Amino acid sequence: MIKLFTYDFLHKLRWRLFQPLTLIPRNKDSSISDLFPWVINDDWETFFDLTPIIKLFPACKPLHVEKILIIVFDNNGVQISSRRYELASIQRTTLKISEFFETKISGYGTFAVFHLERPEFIKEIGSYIAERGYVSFSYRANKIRSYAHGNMDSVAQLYNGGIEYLGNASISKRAYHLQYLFGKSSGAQIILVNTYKKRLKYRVKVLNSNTRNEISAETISIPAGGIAMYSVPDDLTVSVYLVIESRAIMARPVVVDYQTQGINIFHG
Amino acid sequence: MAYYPLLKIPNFFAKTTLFNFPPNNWEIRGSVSSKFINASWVQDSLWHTTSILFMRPNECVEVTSDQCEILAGIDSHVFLSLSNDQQSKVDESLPEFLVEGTSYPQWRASLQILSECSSTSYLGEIAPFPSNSSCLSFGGMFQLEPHTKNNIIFINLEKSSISRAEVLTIHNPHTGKLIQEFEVKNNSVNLLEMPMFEFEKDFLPVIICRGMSGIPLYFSHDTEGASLSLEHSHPPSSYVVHGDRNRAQRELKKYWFERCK
Repeated sequence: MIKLFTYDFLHKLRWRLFQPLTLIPRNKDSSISDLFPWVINDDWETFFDLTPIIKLFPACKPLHVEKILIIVFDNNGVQISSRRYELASIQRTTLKISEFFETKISGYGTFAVFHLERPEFIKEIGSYIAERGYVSFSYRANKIRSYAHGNMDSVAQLYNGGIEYLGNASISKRAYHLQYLFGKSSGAQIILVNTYKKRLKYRVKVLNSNTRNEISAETISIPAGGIAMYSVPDDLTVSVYLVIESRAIMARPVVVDYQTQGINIFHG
Repeated sequence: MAYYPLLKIPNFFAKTTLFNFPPNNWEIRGSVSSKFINASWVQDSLWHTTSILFMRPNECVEVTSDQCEILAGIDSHVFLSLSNDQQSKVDESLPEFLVEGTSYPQWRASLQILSECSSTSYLGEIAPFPSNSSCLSFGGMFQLEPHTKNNIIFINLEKSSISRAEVLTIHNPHTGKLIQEFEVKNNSVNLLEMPMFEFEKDFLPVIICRGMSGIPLYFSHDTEGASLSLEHSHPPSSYVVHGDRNRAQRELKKYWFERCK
């Protein structure tokens, strides 16, 4: 009994104590956003469905104009563009991320969407407004954009206009086993975003789905607020699983599985 | 306990892939055990549950809606689950099994809709909803370009096998005016085709089901099936983090249910 208790205690100590998934912002007036991925090149375009979240709450007056700040970052987490919006109406505004740039751009990065106030009724319940979706991607001439929602409280605003990373890191290295089977012939990529305040290393292992043997592995180093796109080897003769090892509490990627036509994109 | 729905979409093929390994290495100690894959469906107002397949550790198994139609009938809605023991039960209540689970993230399955040249996926699971719950969703994921079709796949699962139907309504957010209503059934994967002629480009529909909760999945496709999209909307509690999120959700539901009559 004592042995079991000790084992439980040590297990919790190692994996759970002082290691929440995300952190509470230091700035009490912060709003929170996911770090949404963007990919723009000759084949890809990225969109975001902007909605006035605060205006949806009953305490918000009908004439209230909701102020929103969108900050775009490059793949190293460096701010490269920003825009402010004022929404007076409850509507959906689909933004094209390439329009944040004055010249044609090719690459990938992240963006954050901050609703620029923390209303009294949200403070009263001890909560923060959070933007978690929805981002969509168009690919080549496909008529349908592929949607993926956000899923993490990744960044918050600071008083000085900067941002605070809310992702957390573990004492021990953790493994994230992606519950998805990558087929033999599909080209596929995963998108990893580091929401921790320091650089983190991610080791992506490709495992034979039949034997569980490692086929290949690659280590990717991502700076704070940075993003990486890892390509699953395209010469596979078997279906594979992916395992992501890192100190991130939950290294949950966005998955891109290329189809004969179109893309299959989703949270892994 | 997690269940995994099988989607059924006319003119498309659907499958649910289950995995016998956890999504992380730290919530479950030791190696996982072999598991049975069970199918549960309501027939004659009773939950029928039977083990249909077996999965060794680290394996994955694909289950198609066609396979389950043979077992449960063409009109049935099948929910899959995992258990350590073989099951064969008929009961008024959806059975629960002692089986390993995780939280960061939940132990999920891959739900996939396929056409001849493309596919779309969603990693998810569903836990039974209380029968007195409700649903509010702001449906921003409709795609209004020509030659596209938009659907909501409203998935409900409850413990009780007693069949019931409720009304899911779509409203204008500015006036609360009713635009469209659909009948949705419990313990079902309800496919609702959206009336796109009503929607403007910047229109944000308010989707309400007062008598039933569910997961609203937004499924869009072009008329050729060349490109597809599948994603769920967040519950209203996701508009805030930390603090009393349930109160935020209650306030939102109370306000919008009152406004949209």
